[in-house]
Amino acid sequence: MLREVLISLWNGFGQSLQLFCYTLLGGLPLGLLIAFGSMSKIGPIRTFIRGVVWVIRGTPLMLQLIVIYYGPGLLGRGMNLWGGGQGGRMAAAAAAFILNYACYFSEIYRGGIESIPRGQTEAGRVLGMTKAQIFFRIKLKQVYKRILPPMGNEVITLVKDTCLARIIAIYELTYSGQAYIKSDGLLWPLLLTGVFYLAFSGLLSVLLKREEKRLAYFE
Amino acid sequence: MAYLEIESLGKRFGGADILHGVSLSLERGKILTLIGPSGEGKTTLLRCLNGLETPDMGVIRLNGETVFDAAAPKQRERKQTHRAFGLVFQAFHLFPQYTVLQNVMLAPSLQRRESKAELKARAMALLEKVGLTEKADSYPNTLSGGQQQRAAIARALAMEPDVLCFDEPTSALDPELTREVLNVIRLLKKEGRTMIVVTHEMAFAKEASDLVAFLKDGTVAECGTSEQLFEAPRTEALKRFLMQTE
Repeated sequence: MLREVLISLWNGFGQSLQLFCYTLLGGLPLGLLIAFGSMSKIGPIRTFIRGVVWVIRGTPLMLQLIVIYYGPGLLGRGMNLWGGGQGGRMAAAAAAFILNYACYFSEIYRGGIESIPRGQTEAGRVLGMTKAQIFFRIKLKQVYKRILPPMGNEVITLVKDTCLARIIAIYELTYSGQAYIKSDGLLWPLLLTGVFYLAFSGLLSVLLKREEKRLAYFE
Repeated sequence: MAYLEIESLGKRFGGADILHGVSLSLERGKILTLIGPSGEGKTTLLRCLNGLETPDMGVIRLNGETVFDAAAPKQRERKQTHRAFGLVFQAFHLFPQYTVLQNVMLAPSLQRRESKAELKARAMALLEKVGLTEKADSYPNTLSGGQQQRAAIARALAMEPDVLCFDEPTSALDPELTREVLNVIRLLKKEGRTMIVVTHEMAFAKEASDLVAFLKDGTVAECGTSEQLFEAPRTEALKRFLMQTE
């Protein structure tokens, strides 16, 4: 029995891990773009982006998942973006998670970027550096160091948020564990999923701490 | 025509004239110090020269070429191989994630066609000049304020500015460290660098300047050699200012 449960949970963890990776791969760059948008000098862009961030951060991720997965299909025939099957569901879940997390990331980026003293930019400017050079060569690493702790928080939260994807029938880790309550009347497989979550978030915490240490050489 | 000509420069912030009608000229290889009470436009003047602020009025000419003209403000030259002006800040503003050597090499490595080896040799020569050879591989947060400021001077020199500006370079330093930094400026003077220094170090201004300008209410109230200004001030405002700073 244990063997069977472990295999099932392992598969569920695979789904959770996939969603986790897609969210970071898509959400980290998209978040930076959204951060730039929310700091844009062009008023309408700024207002629009800040509006989007407000909506996404102000509504439940679960609701967003449902709307993003079912919404297109309800708009009319041929509008179903996601296709059928597990692949389509994963694509929809990834889209919802990326958008949701990108909005949270964007606020962390913005805070980080705005916390860099203006003198850094000015020092770059009087040396004749371009805006892009100043951002990528001077500010980015300082921003990275500053946002690492709050980003780490979000990443740990994401580990556990992946279980929301079950609402559109993705067989992620929690779902796999809970299945044994219905089928065999067993609770311990669900408790065992907790060990998976703890181990994974524990590993991430260690990696984040190590990264913070690596950056401790400057202020 | 003088090497550097500043002609009736003006700058407004939110309806207040911070600078108005500032005209100054400076010969090549000379050192001009700007003195005066705080908040009278000295720093703004340096920021205008360095392009951190765009003046609303006036012209800046260097070596006969127009560097800035308020009538055509977009034409400020960009991407030259060397800079018309360089600026050393009061608070250093070194890049904390880079070593001293990397701080000096960063801007030239992005803008000049020099091999890494040439670049490094030139940067090391600059660090030797400011006495920081041993600190080349140190990070800014391990340096004293005086060392940081000397590193910042080397960084500014790496872009080979025609005129090097200092904005209260020693105001954040205690007397011992102030001396280190002022000695570097004296050394640069000997080399024939053209410099503009905003300072509250009156003894330094008196001894090292070829030209002193006293700024008051956003304009040059008095300008002359250091003997003229310190020994025989003409305006009441300067007399009062010198009394206060003694």
